[in-house]
Order: sequence, then structure tokens, then C-alpha cells
Amino acid sequence: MPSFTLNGIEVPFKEGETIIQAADRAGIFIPRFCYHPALEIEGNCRMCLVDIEGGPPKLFSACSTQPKDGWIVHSNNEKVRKARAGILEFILINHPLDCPICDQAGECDLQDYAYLYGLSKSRYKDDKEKKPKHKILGPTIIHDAERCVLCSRCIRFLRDVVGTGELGLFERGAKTYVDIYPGKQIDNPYSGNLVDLCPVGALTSRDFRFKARAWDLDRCESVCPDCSTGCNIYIDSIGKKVYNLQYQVYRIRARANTEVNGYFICDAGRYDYKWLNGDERLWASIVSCGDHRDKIRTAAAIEQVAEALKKVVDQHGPSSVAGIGNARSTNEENLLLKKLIQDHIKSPHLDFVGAHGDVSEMEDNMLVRKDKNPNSKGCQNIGMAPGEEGRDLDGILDDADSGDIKALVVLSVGYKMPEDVRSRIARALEKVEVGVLIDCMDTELAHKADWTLASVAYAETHGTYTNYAGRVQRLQPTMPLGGEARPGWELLRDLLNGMGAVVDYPSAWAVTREMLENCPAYEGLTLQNIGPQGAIKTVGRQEEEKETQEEQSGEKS
Amino acid sequence: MDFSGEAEKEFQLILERSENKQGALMMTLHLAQREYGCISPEVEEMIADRLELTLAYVHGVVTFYTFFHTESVGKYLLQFCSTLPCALRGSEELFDHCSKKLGIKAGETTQDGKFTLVKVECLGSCGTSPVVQVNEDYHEEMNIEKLDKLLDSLE
Amino acid sequence: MEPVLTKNISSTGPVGIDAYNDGKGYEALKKVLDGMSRAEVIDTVKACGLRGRGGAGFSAGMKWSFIPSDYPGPRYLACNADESEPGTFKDRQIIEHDPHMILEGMSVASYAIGAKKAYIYIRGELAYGAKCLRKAVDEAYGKGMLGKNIMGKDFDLDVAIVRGGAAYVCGEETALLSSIEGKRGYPKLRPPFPANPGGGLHAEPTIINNVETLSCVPHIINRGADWFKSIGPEKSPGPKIFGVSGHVKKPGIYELPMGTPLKEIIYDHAGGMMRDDKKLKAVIPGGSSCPVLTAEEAESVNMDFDSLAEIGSMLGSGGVIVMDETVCMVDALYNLIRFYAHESCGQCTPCREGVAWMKKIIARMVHCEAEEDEIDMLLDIADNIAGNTICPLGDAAVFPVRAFVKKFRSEFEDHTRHKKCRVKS
Repeated sequence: MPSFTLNGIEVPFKEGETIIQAADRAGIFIPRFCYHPALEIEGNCRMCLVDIEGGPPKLFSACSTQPKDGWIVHSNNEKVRKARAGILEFILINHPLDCPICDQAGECDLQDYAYLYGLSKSRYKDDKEKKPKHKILGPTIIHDAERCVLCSRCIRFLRDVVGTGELGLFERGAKTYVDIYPGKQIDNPYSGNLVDLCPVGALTSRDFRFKARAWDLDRCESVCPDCSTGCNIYIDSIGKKVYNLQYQVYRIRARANTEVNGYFICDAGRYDYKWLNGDERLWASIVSCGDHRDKIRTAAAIEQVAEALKKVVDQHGPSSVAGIGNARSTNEENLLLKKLIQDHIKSPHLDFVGAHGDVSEMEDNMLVRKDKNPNSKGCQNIGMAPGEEGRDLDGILDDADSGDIKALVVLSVGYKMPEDVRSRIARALEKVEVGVLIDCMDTELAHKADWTLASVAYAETHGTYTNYAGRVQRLQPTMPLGGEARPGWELLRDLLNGMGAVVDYPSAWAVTREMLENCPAYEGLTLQNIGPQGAIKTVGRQEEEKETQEEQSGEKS
Repeated sequence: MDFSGEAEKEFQLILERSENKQGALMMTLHLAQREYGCISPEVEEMIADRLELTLAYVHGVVTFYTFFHTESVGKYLLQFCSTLPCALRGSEELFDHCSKKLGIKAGETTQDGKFTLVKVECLGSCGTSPVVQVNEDYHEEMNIEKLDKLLDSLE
Repeated sequence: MEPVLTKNISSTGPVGIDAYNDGKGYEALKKVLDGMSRAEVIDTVKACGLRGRGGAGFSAGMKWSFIPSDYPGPRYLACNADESEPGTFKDRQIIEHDPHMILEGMSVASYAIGAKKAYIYIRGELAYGAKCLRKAVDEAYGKGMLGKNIMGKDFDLDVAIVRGGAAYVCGEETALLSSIEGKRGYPKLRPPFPANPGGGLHAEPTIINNVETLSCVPHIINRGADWFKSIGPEKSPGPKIFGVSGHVKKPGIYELPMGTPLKEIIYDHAGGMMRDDKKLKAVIPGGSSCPVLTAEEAESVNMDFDSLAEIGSMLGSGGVIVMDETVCMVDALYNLIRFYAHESCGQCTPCREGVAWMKKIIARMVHCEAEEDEIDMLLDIADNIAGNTICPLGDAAVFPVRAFVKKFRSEFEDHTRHKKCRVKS
């Protein structure tokens, strides 16, 4: 494989790649503002200048120059460092001293580069250019043209990726600025990505404005629960000790996954986190007695539920119990519910709320899919379906109504359930003798269930979702929560044990492993190979892995 | 608002001679400025529509090229070249004289809407400097006397 | 030297197609279509030593040969009529008096590079020039010199005229292409270069030549490469239109052989100093981007590409700006840097921010409000711009700054250290 040396390190490259792309793959960082792997190369910021030994005396932009085999390239020699410091100086002469009030502080490329590569004193004595500041561009974005480094990422994104082109570059020379056409708005379903893309604080989020400092946020890697695409996300939160606040989620950002969502996520998923902080969250389990509702220690609740279920089975037989899983819950929760109902209690009546057929149909031409559940495919793959002579969802709800089903265990995720289904389940929970709900929010269902076991939401648990294509992707919890609300899989494990099943799952991963080992849809997948980008069963998977290894070592085996 | 008659015919010719709609933008803007006097938001909207471009894009091109004005100008746009070759032969004094005579500063228009006064960069006629361009016409080898005569002659 | 390019410069109005070339019409194009292969045309133009008259001085024939001959897609020719370099006013003469010479040159060039479509990009302010070209193009179509099967041969060519919008940067060849594409006049990244796939107009191979360069082509074909080569120095031959402006008695156009001494141009042709009692102080030899010459340098150099390069300046477009002793060099530099700051397209960081910064510093120097250490700071800023930009406009702004400060430093020191201008007081 052809290669060039960068700062003395051999870097292999593919045909058509530029220096910066090969360097990124090799893990050698060359600073940049305008280059972005998802956007057309522009080479206007001049931050990525490198020195090519033996070539013309001027420096070349690494983002736009394709290397040749045997080149000797420097990105950190004196010539490059002086040029880079010069470029930074040029950017900073008109840059406002906004760091103390700028949301980007702490995650700003300009700050980082100025610290790493810049001069510490300013030689500029003249007035700075004045441009529009704190200008609202639409429902999600607020703009500060003085902070802008004119990298044009936003322009290219809106023009080429989304196709709406709301932003333009106006005027010429040092007076150039980015802005929206007078009277128009940025109002497309992917606008939030502009905040992620903008390397400085020129385009910032109205939702996040002034709420928290980047360095106070804890970050976890998760998966968006709002449709079957399963875009990868970061969830940024702050725990109890900072700002004297309870745990709060502050924002969701896009996480790159070239196999699923590229570098972007949709606005619907991005801004759907406020419910995690809402007042309706269940932080304690609840037991109902008639109209009376009481908080109850979760462990005690689980004991009582186990007792009640055992009694129903003894009196009326296994087929009087049914379970309803949920395509918004994790694989692990659904799997343990299935284990409880079908393997332990031996009732065939099991189904799930969610999409039962093909879930790959797109709703737009970018990322959003029609199935608004993150784990329909997961439920399908592990067999959340009626056993022999078992009743499906409609059947279960009918039987609950008629009295044939006397105990019901339901997985739910707050309000995220279609209205008609929810009201039927509510009625069912009310009707049956033993109505058990596992939920993270205190909704109508929790008012009708006899016991509501408080579970945490997707953002606070380990687990996996399986997206429309069959890719298993893992969730990380934002922070360990040691309260009465617990991960759903733990509640079900303890319930299984409480009913005499004797199962040993020291962590969610133990459940995941069992799923991977037993499910034909996940053949070849192991805990080891579900990395940050998830894993999917593919034909010829072995060959793919071998190729990746070859690339990384730069030689054929 | 849309092109019509002769202007529409010329617009069709422009489209014929361009590789694609976007490539017709420069000549369309020239046509529009001649037809409507300036590239106002209505004109931008019409052009964006006819050439299937976004408004932000069209506005970006309009504001890049200083030849296009987004607001209307006086009946006579007096453009004084001020780059070095003209400056060496008295363009500064010529401009000051005109400014005083009309009572307006650079960028301003006379009350009666007759004259707009601007300074421009090299008009490419350095051998006959100082040069003043009035609307489309170059007036070369200007001096104060000739300038006065010119201004008086403009109705 | 009998006029070649400026033969019809005194005509009232442009010479029409019937009178063009003394009534002989597109003689060179006929010769080419009758019996020269594309390679032969390119070789002829290479052999004659024609170097671009837009400013860069690159061998025209070599440029034409850069288009891969086996490229299956379309190719384009663009004629750069954006003439906006301060001090330059030669192309306008050909456009307004002898436009068919340009068209014939474009036709031969298009044939040589295999282009079926050619553009003329003319600066927007030249409304009259655009009309002259429009008339000439229509006449050419009318007489079958443009369109399909020209002169009955297997050669098609369409010519379109695009008017610019008062942006000097669009004289840079790739910014010119961006403008034709209907974009903001941003230069393109190189590589790929315009003659290569991906680098030209609509990403197809394109050759861009200056008006004067293309105007030489019919004469080269008609009279032969040897004739052209015999005029002026061997490595920089041919007739050249010089433009003289500034403090001379007879500013204007002078077509002379390449290599004519600058002293002769100023004193013999342009009539010498405008004011007899004011001596020569400085000369910009080829348009404002060329490093300024002191009077001694100006009086001893020949006007060809290599002689000027040898003394650290450039022939550029051959636009000679003459300054006498009444000129304050700080003022003059401010005038030029203001021009470059106004014309910077703003695409890349060093030119956009750096040139504007240099303008602000020099503005303060003009008013004696700058410190002396800012002179060297100015040069350091210039060093951070030069070579780091996408296009040569950044360099074009830097060259005058470096040359003025280097050769007239005492005036900058007067303005900063002594806070006074010796020239104007």
C-alpha cells in the first residue's frame, strides 16, 4: 500500500485520499477549521498547511492535497508552526473577546488551537470589524457573525447535505459575513447539526444557550430512541454535585457512525431530552390499593409482585399470565420479560408494543424512519411473540378484558406509546387481578397498575438496541443512579429470582451475551465486537475483519 | 414582477448561451439592473425563482460584486476612479470639488435624486486619467472645468 | 516598429468583420483549418515563445498543451478581458477597436485545444466594450466564422460573453471561472489545475488566456513563429502594448518590441516627466502588483519578463505607472493597499484578514499615527500572507508593501519615528 511519512511516521494512504484524511486515519492530528469529512473540501481556512520536503517552497493545505508515494511531509516543523501561528493571529485580530459569555468555551477549536499553536500576545492596535451579533436565525439557532471564522461549513451543510441553503456569504473581503436572507429562517429538520459543525461559537444552540459550561458536562455514548434508524448520540448531563442541581440532561449531540447516521442526527431526536428531566419521572416504585397509591421500596414491591404472580399461577394456571414487551425498551429488558413469562412461568402469551414487520421504511430522504421505536427489530429478533397457542397483543388485551388473563406484566416507556394502545393497556391493567407495570414515568398506566416498578430511562442504563438493519448498538448510562428507580433488566432479574428462577446476571452484559449466543440473527456477534459503532451480522464478516486488519498494519498478510 | 417583452427575449438568449441556470446568473443580474435600476429583494426573488437558486445564494452573489446595487441610485451614478494612476493626476481634488458642488459625500444622493456620488477602484483607463464614469459612459482626461460642464449638461 | 496589435487603434468605433484584417478576414483561422493539425498549431505557438500578457508571463503554447489530448469530455477556452490591474488599460483598446482580432485568436486557440465553446469574460464596467464584442460575435456568426462547420470544415465553436461585476479578483483565472459558473468570484483550489479534468470550468479542462495574448495568435499564424520570435529578446519575444500613466507628458498606449528599455518608453515615447522641474522618483513597471522600481532601476532596465525578474520585479501587464518627486510613497502605498483590501475576495484567512490589517496600519502611517516598530511588523504580516493563500492576490498585495518599504524606508521612518512627511511639507 502506498505511504508517505508525516513527522517521521509512516502513513499509508488510499487512492484519492488527501493528506489530512490519511493522517486522521493514522491518528495524527492536523488542525483544521473548514475541513469536515462529511462536506466538500474547500481549503479556505489555511490552518492545515503542511510542508512537503523537496516540493515547491510554499506550504500546501493538507485537506486538499493528495499525497504521492514516498513523500516526506511535515506538519510541525518551524516553517509550518510559524505559518500556523500567523493564520491564528489573523483569525484572532477581528475575533471578539467573548469567551467569558460564549457557549462554545471549553469545546471551541479556536480556543484549543490558540492555546496549542498560537502566540500569547496580540499585536493588533486597530478597531475590530463589527458584524451582526446574537441574531436569532430560527427556532433552534442563534448567530454571532463576529465570532465566525468563515470556514463555510454551515453553508456547505445546508446547501449540499440538507439541500435547503438558507445561509449565505454576503459582502466581500474582510467585510464578508455569514447570514440568513432577510426575513427568512433556518427551519429545516436537521438545523441542530449546525451547532455541532460550527467549530467556534458563531452558530450556537438556542436551547442550550447559557445553561451550562461544557467542562461541567459529563458525556456518555448512547443511541437515539426516537426511531428505528438508531442514530448514535452523546448525552451530556450534570450530576448532583455541580450547580446544586439534581441530575439533569442538558443536551444531545450527534455522534459519528459511518455505518448508521454519518455525522448528523435529526432535530426531533436531538431536542427530545427534556422529558428525562421532567416532573413525571418515577423515582420510586408505587403500590395501588383501590384509589389509594403509596410509594413503596422497590425491593419490597418486587417481593409482593412475585408473591402475587405465584398465587395467580397456582390458582389459575400459567396461561392466565401474559407479558407485553416494548420496542422502546432495551433488548435486555425484553429478553428477561420473555424469560419470565415463557421460560419460567411457562405461559405462551407474549407480545410487544411496536412495529412487527419491516422497519426500514424512510420518512424523509436523510435519516428519519417511519417506525418511531428504537428496538422493534430487537424485539422481533429475540422472539417477543406468542408461543404455541399463545395470544398476541390484541388477544392478550381482549382476554384481560374478558377475565381469561388474570395477571399482566407490561414494559412501558412513559408517554411514548400510541394513544389507542395505551388506553387499552390501561384498561387491561385495571381489569386484571395482578397488573404489573415497569415504567420510568408516572402516567395513566401507572395509575391503573397494581404495582408500578420504577425503572430508569434509556439514558441511565446499560443495554442495547437493535436498529432497522439488525445492528446491535449499546447504550451507556449518563451516571450511576443508586436510588429506588433501577434499570429495567435488574427489576426483571430480581423478579425472576423472587419467583424461584435462580438466574445469575451480574450485569446487563451478561444478558446481552445470552441474547447474542442464542439468537440466530446475531450469529458471529460477541460482546467484544460490539464496539462504539455497534455490530451487525454480515455475510463474509470474517473477510471484512481481515481487510480492516490489513489496512491498519499497512501490509498484506 | 417578471421579465417581459424585450427583456424576456434577452433572458432566453442568456439561458441559451449558458451551460446551466446557475451559469446564467451574472448576465441575468446585469439585465435586471438595467431593467429595474437596482437589485431589490423583489428582483432577487424573481431571479431566484427563474434560475432555481436559493435567495441566500443569489444575495451572496449580488453583494459580492460591487457593480450591483441593492438600493436604487440617482439618475446619474457618478463613479470617480480613485486608484493610484488617477490619484497621481488629481482625481482626489476632482472628487472633492464635485462633492462640494453637489453638497453630498461619497455614497450619498442629491435631494432631487439626480446624482449619486461614489468612489470606485481602477476603471482600466489609466492613460486618460482622471476618469469619471457616469452610468455606463467613461469620461476621460477630466479636470474641474470639464467636470463642471459635464454636470451642467446632465438633465 | 509598425503596429501589429494596435493597427486600428485610431478607428472611430470597432472595425467590422468586412474591414477586419484589411478586408482579408479570418485569414489565420482559414490557414489553420485548411491544413494544420491541432498539435501543429500548439507547436507553432510554443515555438514562437509567446508568453501570457495578462501578468503571469507563462508560455501560452505550453499552457495549451496541458489539456490531455485523449480527454473524452468537453474542453473550454476562456478569454480574460477582466483587465482591472491598476495601471493597465491595453486590452480595452483591442476590445473597442479591433475585436475580431480577439475572436480570431480565440477560434485558433479553441481549435488547438479541442474546445467547442469559448467564453469572453469582460469586466462589468466596460459596457461599451461588451457592446463592441457582442456586435463582433453576432457578425462572426452571421458570416459563418462561428457556429457549426466553420468555413465548411469539421470545426464548431460557440462564443458567449459574460460580464463581470467590478471584482478585480475575477481577473485571476480560476476566480474568473467561478464567476462564469454564476458564483461568488472565489478562486479554486489547485491542484487540479484548470487544464486538467476537475480543475476548469464546470470541472472540465479549460484554458484561460489574456486578450492581448490571444490577439497575438492570428499574427503568429499568418506571419510565422520565426517572425514573432525575431521581435525582442529570445526568451520574451513579440510586440507588446505598453501603457504609461502617471506623471508623464503623454500618457497612453505604446506598442513596442518586448525588451524596449523603460527609459526609452518614459522619456522618448511618453514625452518625459509631466512637470519639467519635478524629477522621476519611482516607477511601477507592470501594474500595481509588480514591485516598484527606484528611478535608477527604472532608467536602466529593459521591459521584458526576464530582465525585470532579474532585478526583483515583474513585467506583469506592462502597465507603467510613473511617479515624480512630489509623491509621498507612504500615501502611494496606502492607495494601493486600499485597492487590494477592497478587492480581496475574502475566501481565505491570510488575505482576508491580513491585507485589511496591513491597510489599517498603513493608514495610520499616512497620518503619522503609527510607531516605528510597526514597519517591521508590517513586513512580518506580509510574510505570513505570502505563499499561504489560495490564489496570488495575497502575494499581489504583499509585493508592493515589501518593495515600497524596502526601497523608500526612510519615508516610512519619517512618518513613524519623526511623525512628519518630508515630501509633502
